[in-house]
Amino acid sequence: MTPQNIVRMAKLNHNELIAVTDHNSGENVSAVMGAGAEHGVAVLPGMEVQSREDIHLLCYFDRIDDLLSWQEIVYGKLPPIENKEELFGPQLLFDSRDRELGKNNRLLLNGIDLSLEEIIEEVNFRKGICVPAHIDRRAYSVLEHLGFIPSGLPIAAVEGSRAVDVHGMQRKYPYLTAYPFIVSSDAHNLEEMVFNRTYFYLMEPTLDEICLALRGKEGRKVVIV
Amino acid sequence: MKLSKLIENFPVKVATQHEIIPDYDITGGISSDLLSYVMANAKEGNIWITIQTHPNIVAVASLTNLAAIIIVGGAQPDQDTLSRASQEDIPILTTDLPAYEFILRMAAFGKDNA
Repeated sequence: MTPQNIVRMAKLNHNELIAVTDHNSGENVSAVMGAGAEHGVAVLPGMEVQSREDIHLLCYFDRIDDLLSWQEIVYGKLPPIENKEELFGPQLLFDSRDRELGKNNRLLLNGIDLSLEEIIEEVNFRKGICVPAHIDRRAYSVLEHLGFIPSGLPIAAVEGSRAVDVHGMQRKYPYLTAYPFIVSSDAHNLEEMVFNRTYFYLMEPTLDEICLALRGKEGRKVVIV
Repeated sequence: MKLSKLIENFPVKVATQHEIIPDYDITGGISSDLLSYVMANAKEGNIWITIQTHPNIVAVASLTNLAAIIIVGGAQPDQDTLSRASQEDIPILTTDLPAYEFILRMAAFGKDNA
């Protein structure tokens, strides 16, 4: 998955808006945003961060600078372990024309030393939003690791994995109906980008508009198919 | 074994505030960091050995009527966790021992005091 490949695949899929959420890092986001600008695909800067409780939390920002400021915190809270390429593969960095700029040598797959609540506070402080990831899955999900979503948690939505039965989840855990639901492709390769179930009705592809849509305000809405 | 005996004989600190530390009968133990697993599998009166420090552990312990939560490996519970546990009168003990070491010592102690 390179910036040009991601954006061109998004074009083929008629995606007008995509988000890039690498694990504990945002270093490739500006490259994908650059490729997106070239091809007319809006790219939302984001990250999938892993909390102290080993919960995956999606963070989305409007501005790349806010993401990079958040990334500084994340890097400071990651255990200082180097990537072992033979085990985990290379963590490559690209520019918007798919030229390899180098590698990230820090092992990105660990949890950071911040709790779920501390992460949300830091992200919200940077005008970002948080969405607990793939809550229907056994691994790295808030429901599995913490048993339930702590009440009053300031999250913008919850995310299901691509095969989630949204109504089934809401029947099983009725309190989930209090949160907007999104379903993402969680694509780890180009082919998986076709799993595309969430439609946002927006005036423009910005985080403010997405927040309106999640709350169903001012004619904006989210539809899951 | 009574909880007081555990507190007396193991390198643990009682991190919660209690008028009198409840001296529950320990019926057994469970060791897991997945709260959903503990909710499904813990038995009443168990002690729960974990490195999780999130406030949700108190709700899980209360739901399953645990005797105490033992936070191992030197992990420190959040203030919110401690105040909720104190309110619910659920003792939280902390220890620098890792889970494996703590459980080995419990087993050895159990044999000697059988």
